[in-house]
Amino acid sequence: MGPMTIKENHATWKEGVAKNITFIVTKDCQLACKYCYLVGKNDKERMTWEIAKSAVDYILSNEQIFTEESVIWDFIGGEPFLEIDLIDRICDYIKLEMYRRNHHWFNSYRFSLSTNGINYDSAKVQDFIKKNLDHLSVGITIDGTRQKHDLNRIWKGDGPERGSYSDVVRNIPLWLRQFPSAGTKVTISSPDIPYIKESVLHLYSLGIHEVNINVVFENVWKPGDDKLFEQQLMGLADEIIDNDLYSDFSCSFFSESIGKPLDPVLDNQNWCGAGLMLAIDAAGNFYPCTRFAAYSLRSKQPIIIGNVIDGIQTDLLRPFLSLDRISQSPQKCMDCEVASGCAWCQGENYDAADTPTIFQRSTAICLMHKARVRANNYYWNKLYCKLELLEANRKPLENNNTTIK
Amino acid sequence: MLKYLVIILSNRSTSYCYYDVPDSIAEKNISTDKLKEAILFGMKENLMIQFVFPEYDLPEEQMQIIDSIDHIQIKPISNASRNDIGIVNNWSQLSDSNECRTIVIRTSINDLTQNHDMLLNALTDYERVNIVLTDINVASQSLISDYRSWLIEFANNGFKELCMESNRIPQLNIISDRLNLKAMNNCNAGVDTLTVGPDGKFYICPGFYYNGSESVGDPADGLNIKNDELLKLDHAPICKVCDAWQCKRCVWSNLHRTHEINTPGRGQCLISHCEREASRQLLSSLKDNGIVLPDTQIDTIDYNEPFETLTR
Repeated sequence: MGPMTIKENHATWKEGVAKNITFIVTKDCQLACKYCYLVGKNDKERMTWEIAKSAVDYILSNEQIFTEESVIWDFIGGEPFLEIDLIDRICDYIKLEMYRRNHHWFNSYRFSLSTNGINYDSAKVQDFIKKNLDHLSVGITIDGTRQKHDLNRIWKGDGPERGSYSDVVRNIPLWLRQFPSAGTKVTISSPDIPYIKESVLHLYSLGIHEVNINVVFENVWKPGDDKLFEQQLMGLADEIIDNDLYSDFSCSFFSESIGKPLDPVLDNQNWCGAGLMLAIDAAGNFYPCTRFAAYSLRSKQPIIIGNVIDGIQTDLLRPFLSLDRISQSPQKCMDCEVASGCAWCQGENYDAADTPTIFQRSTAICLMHKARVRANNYYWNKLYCKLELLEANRKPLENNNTTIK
Repeated sequence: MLKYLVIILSNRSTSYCYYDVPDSIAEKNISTDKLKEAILFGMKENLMIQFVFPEYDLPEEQMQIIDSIDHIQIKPISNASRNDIGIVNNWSQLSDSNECRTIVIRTSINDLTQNHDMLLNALTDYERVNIVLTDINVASQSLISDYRSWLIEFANNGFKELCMESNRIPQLNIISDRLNLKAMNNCNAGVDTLTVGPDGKFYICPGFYYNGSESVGDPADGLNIKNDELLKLDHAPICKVCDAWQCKRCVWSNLHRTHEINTPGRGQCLISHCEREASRQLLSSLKDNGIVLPDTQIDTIDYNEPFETLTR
């Protein structure tokens, strides 16, 4: 019997009650994606073993602070696999220490990495994957068709732009063999809109069954983008439904729960998990999420909530942990009749705010959300009609004691 | 809606709240033109003006301008007259020769707990005593525990005896205010109250002037507080579920502790709940002695401060 996948291994995995701890192991990357929110990438700030070890020691020594049932040890960059030796050493140390300390996270943990996929087949990365497969999830970012992917995801450096599609797509079969249920994350900015439909279908054709896709939260949208976006999603809806792809493939743009009004009392929770997470950078500073580190911020100072030596300053976490929807939303969001599913990023809210606060919600995606809701309504109405028709056709057959597959 | 305008007359005007006036700050008065502008703004906006004085005398010209408008004076206690609010920065400043009826005692928690008898005397000598804990932003958990123990003991003994003897409840903000409130009654800096610094510009409160924050306008160009909704109770997630109604809900302290103007640090919340609990126990004790305050009820609670209820 082969190793269990993460999903099969759910008996030891408490989805939803996990602490997410992110090591920013490097701020370097081979690529220079045009939509990347990391404005301060560089090849100087690499995490040392001493900092990583101090972070692990602090976290595992303070079980009274980190009470969640499970943990996701996340490694992020830049491109995390550039630091595979360090990551491998950290993971070995975490496993050893959790066992030695009889820590409540032992056997209830996951390592998680999100990669550009370029180094995926290297010997060191493959050795790491094989060693940790039972407790590992790896996401490869591929944006869709070659045209769409290479529009944004280009190699770093001077000279003519060079897309990275070929360097990534060659590793997709290996990745899917190792993580058959893995999904990919697609990011949509203004220039990408015309390629959404064909890109999602292309990813399906590569064997990727789960496409997690979202528009960027930054204020990049041009007049008319919402109309074009709606058309693309409706076209995608037609393809998914007409070709019966809906039973085997998913696209996060379509969800039955979005586009409804929200109750000011019952639906007052924050969207974002900033503050519930903990991120650590190369200097050993703690952040409520990587988006509050200096390299992620255009116009604000980083929000540092402690460090590996002094620990977490709990007062600085109180705004994040008490933040609710009402306190940060403008009146138009409170009055919005299609509010459910409209997301926000706390880091982008902070970066775009008029004052240094996390309590001012950016509404840059307002029109895009509304366009998504219209297309989403179309999707579900069309799908229900089709399923009802199927049901109607099935009943007479059942009455004749005939079964269909 | 703005109701009060605080005008700081000098860089060395006395502090009457949590903020400190740095010892190193130079002696510099508000200019006469700026003083006139500030007063005119207050008149046009129909605000009650409160002038904050330094220890030393101001020029006669400025005193004449000040006396041209209805106002309240906040002064070091040594200079305070009967209708002024006298500020005490050291317990030794309390004496029989003080004329004013309302005083503010700025004190550390340790000094407060060591001046139990002086506080009892002050409650008979003055109509109202406000305690301002100057170490609220740095107090340790154990110091706050000490404060809680002392305050509850003080409420249940010395303070209650005063109530019984005088057949009235003396006004001591940290015990009696909660008994008299039906809803939040906070400082509301930037909402009810605006401050004019010695530079003639607007600040949310004096603390913002003294810590070097940017001004939020001036009388000529008007008030401009960005994200001013965050100063209001309905945009403060922790405070809006809280019933320690006597809490100052100090936004300057919030910014200092949590970097967010609408979010209190744990210390401020714990201290306010020590006071709430002292009030609750006093109320219960008074009731046992046949003194009933109609419509006043303070429930027992199973948390130390309201943040705990949000994160359960």
